[in-house]
Amino acid sequence: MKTETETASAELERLARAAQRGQPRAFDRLAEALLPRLRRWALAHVSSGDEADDIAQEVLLKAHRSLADFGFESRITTWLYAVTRRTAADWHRKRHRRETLMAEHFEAPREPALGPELDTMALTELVRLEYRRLPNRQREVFDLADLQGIPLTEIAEMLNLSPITARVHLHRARAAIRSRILESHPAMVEDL
Amino acid sequence: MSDERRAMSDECMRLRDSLLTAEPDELRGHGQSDLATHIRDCARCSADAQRILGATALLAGQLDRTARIAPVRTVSKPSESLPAWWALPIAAVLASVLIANELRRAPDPEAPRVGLLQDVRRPVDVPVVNAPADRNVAVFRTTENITVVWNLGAKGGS
Repeated sequence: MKTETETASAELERLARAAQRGQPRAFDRLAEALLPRLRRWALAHVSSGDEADDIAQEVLLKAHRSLADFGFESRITTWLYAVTRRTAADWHRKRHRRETLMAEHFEAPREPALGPELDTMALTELVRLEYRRLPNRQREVFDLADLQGIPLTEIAEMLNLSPITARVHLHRARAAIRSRILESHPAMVEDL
Repeated sequence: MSDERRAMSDECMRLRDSLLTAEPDELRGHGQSDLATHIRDCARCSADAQRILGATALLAGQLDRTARIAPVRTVSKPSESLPAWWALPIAAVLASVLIANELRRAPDPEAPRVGLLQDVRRPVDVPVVNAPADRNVAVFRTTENITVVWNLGAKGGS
């Protein structure tokens, strides 16, 4: 029996093949199906919805230009994830100078103070900051596995990693994030 | 003292590292692993596991919402849009009109000034044309790299 992600991937592949054959509106339907997923992937690399949207749009353009050459040797999601990563890396290179200037003029986001009154919003912000601090690979694997529910074997394929390496990244990311979550609780701090 | 504030037992300490790396299902107490069994029996570790699951779900929800609320824009498909070269003859004609116009005209201290908008938040290479009072200026952005500024002369006249 196929999992939900396998079914979704199969549908994307069907649309991609139809678009390759030049079937009318197939690429539009493919783009519509892909856009939320591309945005979500991009959010592992950038911190705002607008930035993620810029990257997702660029990935769609690249997909449109290169779809004719895609041979379906790998899953279409694997290919598009690789395009998303490269596009995000280019985006960071282009924005590097601006970010350096921004960092000089603006304060880094402040961590919510730990305490008994840490509410849901503060906890979310604390976890989000820890997530942003993770090394890229760890953040990507954690995001795909624990936040998007993609099986580790598929993640390893998407990131061109061995399953063991993917697992190591996942465990390190989980340990960092979960330690932070537990530290945020005063009962835990007392005991440690 | 509530159950979850009890001191950690040796078993809690032994399984602490597993708690930090376990699969979400184990944190829910599913399965027969040492950790899953312990979580079913220990209120303290069960509360910690719930905290981890809850905070992770909050983060996932926040990222999902951010992805969904991104603005929807239509994708311009390269094959359906005109190739970039179509703009070159038009740009050349407009540029020659502009040059001829400028040559006919005496030096104008109030000629339009072209600058680049330096937006700190989101820099974009949008030309900004500051037209002097009583002047009309047309700006054509033909492609990503070509922008034509056309000094149309005085308002209401030539």
